[in-house]
Amino acid sequence: MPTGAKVNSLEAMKEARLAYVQFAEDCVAALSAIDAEVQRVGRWLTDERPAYWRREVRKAEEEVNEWRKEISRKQLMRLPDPVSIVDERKKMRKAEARAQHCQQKLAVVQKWAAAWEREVMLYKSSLSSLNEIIHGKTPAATTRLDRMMQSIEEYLALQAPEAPGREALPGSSSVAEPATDEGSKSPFARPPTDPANSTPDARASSDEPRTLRDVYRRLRALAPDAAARAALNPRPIEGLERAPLMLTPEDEAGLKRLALLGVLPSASDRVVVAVRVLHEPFVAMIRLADAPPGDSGWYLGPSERPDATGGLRATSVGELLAARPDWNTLLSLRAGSLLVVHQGVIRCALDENDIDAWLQQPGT
Amino acid sequence: MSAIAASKANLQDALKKLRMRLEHLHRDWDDQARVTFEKDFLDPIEPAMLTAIKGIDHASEIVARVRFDCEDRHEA
Repeated sequence: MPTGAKVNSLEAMKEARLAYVQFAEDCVAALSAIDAEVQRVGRWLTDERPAYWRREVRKAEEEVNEWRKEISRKQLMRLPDPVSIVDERKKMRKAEARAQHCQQKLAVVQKWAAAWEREVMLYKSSLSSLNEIIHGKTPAATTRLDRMMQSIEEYLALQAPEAPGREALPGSSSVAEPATDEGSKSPFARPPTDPANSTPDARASSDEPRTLRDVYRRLRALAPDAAARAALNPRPIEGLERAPLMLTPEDEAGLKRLALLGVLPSASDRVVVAVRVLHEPFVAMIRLADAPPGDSGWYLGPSERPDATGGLRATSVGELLAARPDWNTLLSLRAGSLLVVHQGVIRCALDENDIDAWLQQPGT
Repeated sequence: MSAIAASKANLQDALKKLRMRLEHLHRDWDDQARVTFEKDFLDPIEPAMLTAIKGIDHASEIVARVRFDCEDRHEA
């Protein structure tokens, strides 16, 4: 488990993800209950109520007729004294009133039934923004958080102390720098650590990245500065054409849409490449914001264990592109950019203020 | 309490819980990515919820009036 398990921002992102998903689920449950109630009332209004009140009108009218017949029958009897029909008249009037009431109710039901669809539409339109958050933004938010958390976890995995001898890459002995060469004097050199004397808490020292920004700062800090770059002797780099850094077509297209894209440096401008980049698909491309004339400012280094470079090489943009014309777009990012590519997939594309233009693309 | 009123209370409670859980987000996650995340995904929630609650209140009122106008108070 990387020491990143202790990183506050990673935990905060996890909590934000859980909270956002829980919120969306709670909203779905509440809105479903309201929808069910609205639908139930709609069926009651449009199906059950009209039938009910028609039945009640008919029953009341039948009752009126029955009392009318009863009154007629009693009026015809007239034997030997007239029979009282006061009660029957009262009951007939009551039945007439009920029939009238039921007809009024039926008219009201029909009025509401006609207006119901419009009211439901109004209600549903008031939920459109919340529904967009629940069904549209929630997947986008979790995707973005997942990508950020994955990036942090990958970067924090680099924090494990280096094992002795790991600096030299397997199969790279023919290109590794000798002890007195430029590589050992590079700003990437780190004081050796002894894992046996290093407790987990000690390893989680103050220079351990706590946030993505810390990770970016560390990558930038590890890029060779102008003086270190100037000290390197430009020469063709063997094996560039076989380097595994190669963007997927989707990410290549996405990169071309970013505002981060600038102008390709001059062919004669200097580029510095870490030897590990020739063998590994985990690459951090960093372009100095203040490179001197004749220097593109580009540094291509490993993004995993970035301080273990395997040695540094300098060449020109022209030489580089002759071997790797597919890196044209990559090298066109403007000064101050930081791009991390893992196995052809862009993990982040930062501007000079460490704002991730890649994450802020629509649909991420 | 009607079913709609209860569900409205649940919605408001969901927002309250979200606010409480993310109250200290800026303290532990303090970078531009967090600012952008809030702008894109958290800031739109309050106005959306406000509009939804207004719509639910209106629907609740309509349902109550429909029930009052269309029921039969002599119905068994």
